Amino acid sequence: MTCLAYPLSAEVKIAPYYSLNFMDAVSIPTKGDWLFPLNLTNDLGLMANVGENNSVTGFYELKYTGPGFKKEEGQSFTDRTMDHILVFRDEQKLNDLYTLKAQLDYMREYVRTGADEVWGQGLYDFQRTGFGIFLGRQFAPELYGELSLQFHTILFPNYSDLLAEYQAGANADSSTGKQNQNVYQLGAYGKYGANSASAGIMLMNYTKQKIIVQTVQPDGTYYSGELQSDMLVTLNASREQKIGERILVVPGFAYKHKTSNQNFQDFATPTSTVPVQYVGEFYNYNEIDAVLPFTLLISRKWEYFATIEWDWKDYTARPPRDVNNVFVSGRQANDIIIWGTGFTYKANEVTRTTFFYQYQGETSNMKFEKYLPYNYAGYTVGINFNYSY
Amino acid sequence: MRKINYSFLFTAILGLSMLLAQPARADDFANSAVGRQLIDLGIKFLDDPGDFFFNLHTDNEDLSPLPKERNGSLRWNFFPTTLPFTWANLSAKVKIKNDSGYWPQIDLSAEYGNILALKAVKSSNDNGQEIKPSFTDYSFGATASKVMNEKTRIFGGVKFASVNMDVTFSTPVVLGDFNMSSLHFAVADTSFFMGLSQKTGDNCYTVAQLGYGCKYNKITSRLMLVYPHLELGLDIFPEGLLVIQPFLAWHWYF
Repeated sequence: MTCLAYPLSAEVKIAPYYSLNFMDAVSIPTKGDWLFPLNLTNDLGLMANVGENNSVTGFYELKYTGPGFKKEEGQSFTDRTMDHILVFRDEQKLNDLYTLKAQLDYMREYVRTGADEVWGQGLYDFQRTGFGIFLGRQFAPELYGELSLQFHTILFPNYSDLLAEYQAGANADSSTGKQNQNVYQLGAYGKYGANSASAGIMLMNYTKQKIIVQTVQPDGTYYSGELQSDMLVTLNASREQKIGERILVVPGFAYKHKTSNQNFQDFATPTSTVPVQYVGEFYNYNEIDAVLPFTLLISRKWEYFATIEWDWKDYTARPPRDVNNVFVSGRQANDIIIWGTGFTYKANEVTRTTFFYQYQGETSNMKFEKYLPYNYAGYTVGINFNYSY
Repeated sequence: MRKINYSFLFTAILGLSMLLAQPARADDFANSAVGRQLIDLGIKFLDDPGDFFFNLHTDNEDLSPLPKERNGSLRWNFFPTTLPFTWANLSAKVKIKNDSGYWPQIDLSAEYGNILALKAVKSSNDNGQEIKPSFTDYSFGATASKVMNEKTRIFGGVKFASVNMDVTFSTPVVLGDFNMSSLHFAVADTSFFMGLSQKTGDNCYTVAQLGYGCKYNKITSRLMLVYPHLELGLDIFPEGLLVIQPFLAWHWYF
């Protein structure tokens, strides 16, 4: 990005930032209809240097994600989302060692799960508002560390009731975590030369969603008086490894551990009010992700890339289901592999065009796939265009 | 004779082709692979013709800021509206405030268009009485822009656009499962837009813009090259019938 700052005054200089990213492709799954993924992301930002040690950044992103293969559990291939993201950040250099950043952010997401749905009426639409504080220290020329504290509140204006979702027979994964909540995050990040690592704890306290219990309560429901609370612990590590002047490899590793006090009641039919099976700690899982991207600089204008990613997700208490939606023995495990390759053409310093081919496959002992896919494979061929200033 | 008479050769090939090629019957074409794809596209068009024409109308607009040394412009978008839809259009832009100090440059713009071919369409109501088909396309808006450096400006603004059509065909257009007997829609929306204009040559600008419609939550993006008179661009509509719409326009500055 070329940032030629505009002097608004002797003390204030402003630099604009704009990015347009457009991806169009065709995905061919081994079963089901062809998909035509289309993603469009527009970013517009302004960075102002106010004085010698202070800068302020304002940033707006409008993002459309069309149908296509999804990685996150609980999303259908035909889901479409539209995101509005607004961020204001102030960065203050306290002295030669410490930097303090403060951030306010707002996000609004609209979800369409069907072709006939109208934007704004999606069951899983949400808005997220919050702030964060980041304190960084330069320990040595090659060693940087940062602590962060963030708070967000997430509202789902169209979502109603978790038990009603279960009784309607909807897949539990699509409705997981889709209730009003307050999110507290504590994070640590470190960078030493080409290596970087981070650790984080996220607490999600639900403001209205109660815990589902095994026995009927005095009010006649299966809800207890306790509110749902989830915790997600994440660990990440990666390294940027240059091999010669033309090759870059960035291996990465991530571990996630999720716990929740929410449980699950299985209703045999959509209109049934008597559950047939109770599963405690239904949403707890461990996940390991590994990624290995490779880039070869062919010439000043051409790059070749290849990447491979594995995701292994194992639930600690949730049993899998058979094709008839009946729980069977064991613990649900989902494995995803994604590999891709392609070429990037850099016509000039502001545009990049990428031609790519990607394979995505998932296997799981979860065989009930009426609402969401768990066992599939498919190929995607497409083009990605990026304009960044 | 060494010199080949290319005119005669071209005419001969064309005439021979016409002689040998049997005109395809409509049902043969409808059953072909290309025909089926076109019919599917046509059926999708009939689901929401207003959206298709509203997207086409967007090509007729230009809300990017005027060059700072100019006071106004007139613009005609000739593809894909005038050609092939005979959609005549003209838009005007006027600068009402220069960029100075903390104040941005402010431009006002307006656009009007009409589909001329509709005047020749025979349209009738349910009683068989002949009625005049109607089509209106107009928009107006305001753009504020600020110079960031000698080559770059950012801009933003708001616009209102409206496209209406009311035509009932005396003879429905039928091809396979595609059956179009009338087109009635009225689409209007207020949109916000913002973008960046960058001077990329002596007489050339690159404009990148994003827009968002309040009523229909419609996202649009535009990438455009602006030459002294010619404009070449792409409008992107993620949920449009035609996702990518290239356009060509001609403008005069004054």
